[in-house]
Amino acid sequence: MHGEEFDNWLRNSARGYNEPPAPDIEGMWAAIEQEHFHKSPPVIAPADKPVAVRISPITPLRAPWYNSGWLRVAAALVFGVALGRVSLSPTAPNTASQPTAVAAEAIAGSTVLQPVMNSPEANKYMGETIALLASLQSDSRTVSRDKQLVSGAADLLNTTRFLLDSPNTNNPNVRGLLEDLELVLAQIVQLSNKGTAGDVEMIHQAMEQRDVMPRLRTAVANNYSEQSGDMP
Amino acid sequence: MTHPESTVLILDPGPRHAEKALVARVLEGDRIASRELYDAHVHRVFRLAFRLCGDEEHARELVQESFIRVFSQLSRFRGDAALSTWVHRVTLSVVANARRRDKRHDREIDFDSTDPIADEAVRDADPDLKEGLHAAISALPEIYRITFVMHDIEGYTHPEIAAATGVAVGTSKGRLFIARGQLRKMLEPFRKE
Repeated sequence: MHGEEFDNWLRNSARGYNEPPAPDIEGMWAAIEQEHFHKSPPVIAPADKPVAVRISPITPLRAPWYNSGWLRVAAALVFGVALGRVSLSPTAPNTASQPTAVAAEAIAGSTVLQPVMNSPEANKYMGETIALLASLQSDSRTVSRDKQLVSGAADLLNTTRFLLDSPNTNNPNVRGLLEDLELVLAQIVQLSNKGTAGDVEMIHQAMEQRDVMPRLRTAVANNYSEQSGDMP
Repeated sequence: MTHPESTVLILDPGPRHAEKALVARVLEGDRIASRELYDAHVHRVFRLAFRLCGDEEHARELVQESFIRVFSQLSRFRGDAALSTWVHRVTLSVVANARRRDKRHDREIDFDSTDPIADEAVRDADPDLKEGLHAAISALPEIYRITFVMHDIEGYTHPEIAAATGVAVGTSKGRLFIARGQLRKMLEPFRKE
């Protein structure tokens, strides 16, 4: 065989090289959902295809955030503080008896945070987030080498996701702020892999476009004023 | 020569504006849109991942990691190229990283030379020519193997391969030429039989 004849044979014969089996679409999607969206997988099958669901054993690519021991402690702490605020407050009966939606309605349009968020721990979280974002350098090499910054961003990302998953975080303004923070923090964490100057610039641009820092500062200020007003 | 699969192997699955709308929905957190994006690309991504790794479980992991990365980095997608091109670029990056991690394949990511040990493996492989061919493909340096697999096996065009691998179209053509030449050389013993 020579020349084109060989090339033709090559193309035809190579088709059998690592011939792929039918992919396990649903199983892979379940793993992706669990990993990326942090939820149990609702199976969404295309309308024109039969539902052939096989939830195969899933090997998580990394441990889910809620397996983190310190995060459980933090979650318990935040929940406990929130519970304490509600039960010990002089206005506890009124507060407890009103649905969260009423509170959300009352603060709609502002970035005053919800009961769980409206706590010293939440202020600490937001303060640390502001400090971290403010320290974000424009030099990607500095950022990718700054392990403290990246690990700090990873911790704050976990806390952000915890707060997003909290049923009390139902104020759309708060959710919007947390979702923006989740995106920004996730991007900072990813800088440790192969961050470029463009990536850092994009993070800065995203923060500016979404007014992340002003909204964060406003939220902290509102929280402090709320807490000061609560004091006897 | 025509590829039977080539009619379904078009990188750009639909109008660009529809693609941008889909991306926007995914970025807004629309889970249905995320699934639509996944459905639109998973078959080709899986085929490519499996062709390159040859192991179903490993291919699954590569696909999962690729889409997780796609979803987490989607905000970086600017729409300059087709979304499928970007998805494939992410996939190839994930595959390359996995192979770097896998010490068993350390020799195969030597981009500049073929492996003499692999050459021996080709000669020692099943005397059947196709078996020899498959061993020879596996023995190709990674950049040539990717180009060969994408073009000659999966039916991608050179512009598609160039966009997904981040090189010029001419480079992609050159790599395919070299890949075929190396396969021809490695299969010489079989062709004489």
